[in-house]
Amino acid sequence: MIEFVRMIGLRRHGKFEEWCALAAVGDLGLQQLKELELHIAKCVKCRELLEGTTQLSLQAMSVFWERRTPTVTIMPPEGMRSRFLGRFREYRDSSDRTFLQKEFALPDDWAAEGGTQREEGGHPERRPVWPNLFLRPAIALVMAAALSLGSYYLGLKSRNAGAALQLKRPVAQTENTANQRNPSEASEQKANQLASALADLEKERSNAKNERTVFEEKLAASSARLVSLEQAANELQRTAAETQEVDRELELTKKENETLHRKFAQTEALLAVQEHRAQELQTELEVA
Amino acid sequence: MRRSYMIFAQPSQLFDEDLQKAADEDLIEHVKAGSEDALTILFERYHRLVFHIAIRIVRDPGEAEEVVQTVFLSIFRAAVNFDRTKGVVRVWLLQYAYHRALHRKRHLTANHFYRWEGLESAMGLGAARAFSGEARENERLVAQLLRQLKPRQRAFLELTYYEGLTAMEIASRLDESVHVVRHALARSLVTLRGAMLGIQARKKEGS
Repeated sequence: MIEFVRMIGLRRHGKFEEWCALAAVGDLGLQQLKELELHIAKCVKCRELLEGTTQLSLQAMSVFWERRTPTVTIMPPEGMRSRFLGRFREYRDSSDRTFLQKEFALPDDWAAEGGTQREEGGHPERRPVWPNLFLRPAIALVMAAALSLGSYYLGLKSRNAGAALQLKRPVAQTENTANQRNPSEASEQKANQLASALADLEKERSNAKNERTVFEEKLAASSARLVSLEQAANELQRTAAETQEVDRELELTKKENETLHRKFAQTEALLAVQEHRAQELQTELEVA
Repeated sequence: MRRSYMIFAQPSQLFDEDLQKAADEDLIEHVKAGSEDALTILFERYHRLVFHIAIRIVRDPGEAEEVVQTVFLSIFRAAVNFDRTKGVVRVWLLQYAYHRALHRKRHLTANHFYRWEGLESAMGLGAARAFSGEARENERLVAQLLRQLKPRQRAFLELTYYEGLTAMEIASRLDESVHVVRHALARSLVTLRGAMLGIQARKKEGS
């Protein structure tokens, strides 16, 4: 009994071994993939086999392809290059500030699969800077709040209330005087804001231009396809008319053929009668 | 041990004519430096081949184009990792294309519903090893071992890898049963893997 159970187990395991290899060449259906995923979660041997066959499969694949140039039967879609370049620029622009011109530390066993390494694994040991930027102001705020609460409970509120009202106007005046004192600073700030808005606008304009190029190419490809489809449709219509003509001709020929058959049969019958008559006459002649 | 790379984005300093004539491995060096021109030239050279591999696996032009774009974007991201002493760009691209196309097919099979976390992680590790340092040596070994297979087994593998046929299509083309083809394919790969492991173990013992 135990032997029987062991054999059943081995057979089931054998099934998964086969599936590991078939998964590596992409020949498993949905249900089988699901079963295999569940199985490798608990079977180390099969998991290793799947890793190994995937590795081997990629290497075997490149052996078959290394020195061969494919006979291209299906051409890539029109405008693929510009679509790719658009996507690439979008990707590069979005990640420029995060990874370009930075120093990277990559682990030796970095997998080619982990394309996100540049973004995610750039500086694993370096802490992000932003918490430091906010930490100090946050501490200052908390301390200010604690001080004001403390002063309130110490009974200073009543004395400070009037003073606060009196102080309010001078503060505004101080701001105004500061603005008047430093008009160049304010204008510089405004200029910076405008420059940044202009840069953003330029970027958007460049993106829009790229999109326009992509759409132009798509439109051109689509128009070309439309023309070719129209031609094909015309050809089909012409072919349909030709087919009808041929059908008619075929019908006529069939009828003619039938008539000829009939005539031939009649002629043959007549000939047979005449032959018979000729034989009779010959016999009569011989007798006479 | 960790390696450091400095990335500079200065594509305008590169010369187009020189780039056009450059070898694939030199282009990858430029891609490492952030050159869009070099990546474009690589795309020009290989996008048909990658599309050809992808369409045979995913069987849909739109999906195949998605694979092509993903492959080249990944090449841009992974270029820093490429070591010309350990492999050639064409093989790297071929393997990457095949790997990405199969990955896409799995997601299409599941209608984008499953993430196949277990499978992807195991197969990702396998792929990482295929792209690793000993890739060139391993490919030579695989080529030797493939020559030792029975002609029929080799034919099945060739139809699978080169023509992108499924077991069912191979069966119908060669007038065999699907079961026989699937079994033979699996046995070939498992046998090859066993042989590879044996050779590697002997080498380790020897060294």
